Amino acid sequence: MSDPMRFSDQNAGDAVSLLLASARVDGPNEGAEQRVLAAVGTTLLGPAWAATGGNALGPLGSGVMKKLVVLGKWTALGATAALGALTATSAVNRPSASPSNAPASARSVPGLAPPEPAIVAGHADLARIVGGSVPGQPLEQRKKAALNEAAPASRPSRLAQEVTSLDVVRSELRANRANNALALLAKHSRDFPNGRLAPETDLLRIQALMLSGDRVTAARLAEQFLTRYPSSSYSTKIRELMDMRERREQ
Amino acid sequence: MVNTALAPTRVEPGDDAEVSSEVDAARLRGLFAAHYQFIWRQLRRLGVPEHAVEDASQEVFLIAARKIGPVAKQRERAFLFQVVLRVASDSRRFSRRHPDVAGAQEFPDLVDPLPTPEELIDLQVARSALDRIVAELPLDVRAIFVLFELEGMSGREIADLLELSPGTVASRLRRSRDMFETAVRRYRTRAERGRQP
Repeated sequence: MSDPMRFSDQNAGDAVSLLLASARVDGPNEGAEQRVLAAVGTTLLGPAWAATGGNALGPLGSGVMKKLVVLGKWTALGATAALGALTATSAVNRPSASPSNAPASARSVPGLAPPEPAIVAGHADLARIVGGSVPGQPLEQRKKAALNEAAPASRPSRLAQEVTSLDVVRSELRANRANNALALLAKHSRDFPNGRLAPETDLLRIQALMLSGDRVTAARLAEQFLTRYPSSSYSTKIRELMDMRERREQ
Repeated sequence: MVNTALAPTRVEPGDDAEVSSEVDAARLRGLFAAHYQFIWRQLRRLGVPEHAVEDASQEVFLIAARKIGPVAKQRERAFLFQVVLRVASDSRRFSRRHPDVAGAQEFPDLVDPLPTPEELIDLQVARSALDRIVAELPLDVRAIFVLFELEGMSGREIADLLELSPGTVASRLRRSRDMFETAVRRYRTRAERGRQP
């Protein structure tokens, strides 16, 4: 079988070449591989993961330099969040210290997340994908962890708990359960009245309200958010959501 | 919709028989080291938005770790690619059903106008435009286009990865390239029309 000449090898036109070149430079951002490996390993193996060497990938293993690079990136976005996240990162990368909260945290801790965190979209409901037959549903574990009021033996950091709580809200939103998400957000606000992730919480509340059909309240909260956090990295996303809503209503 | 004809190793989510009773930690690490970058690229190129690729890759490895037990080592990449197709398909379906939750990033037409060819010099603009064009291709055709044009695989390598005959790959590749060129022409026409006063 002889292959045709690729578009990129035949000067198929400037536009085509540029379009295809744009995809060739794609790649995961710094530390993504370690984050995903940590989350998957801890979700599947729990404490056993630590016994096998944790999330180390041999020559690719996470080192101090990688953490410093990630931290450096996040310093630009907010030193407070980055430092808090690094604290939670330690718990994630050492599952033996607090295995119960590691999977959710590993995905969502801001310092471990990409510069533009996936607020809601993306991680489809795992239960739906793997079916109900797999033992130890991660989502169930995460829900229990977030809803459990009793302090575990080795209590995770406050930020890690906050992250886990919001992760459950995201799961509910992805499953199109807006009312559950709103109820969990109300509980979250009671549990973390001075939470460090207030902007993320507000954004999730706006999205939950939009999903529930209460677009008037969502718009009001969005305006408050933009006033309160005019330079937040989420402001653009909120403006886009509001613009989309307005265009639909026209 | 994932074309099951692409499936080299069927992944049936509800099939207990395929679920490994124990996850092999060493094999999981090996899978990551050997295939993570490949998986990330294919998810992105098959239409998963950039902000969602990390979560999607987590899904791929969670599913794979539980089901890869009986898969031979030399078929690991083919197996993972099948899971990628499923996750990419789910991600596209979710975005279509939940535009508010998915955010405006999945609906760039609502956010910014189509760029002209001159503006495609900006790689980010070009990437967004490519997403829109490639999104017009059915997933099975798109997979072959992406593997050939972007991943640089030969037709024979694609046939081996997808467990298809070389003839089938060749005809789908021809179709995918024709569809891509048509989509680019349509895109340019729309862009030029949108810029007219």
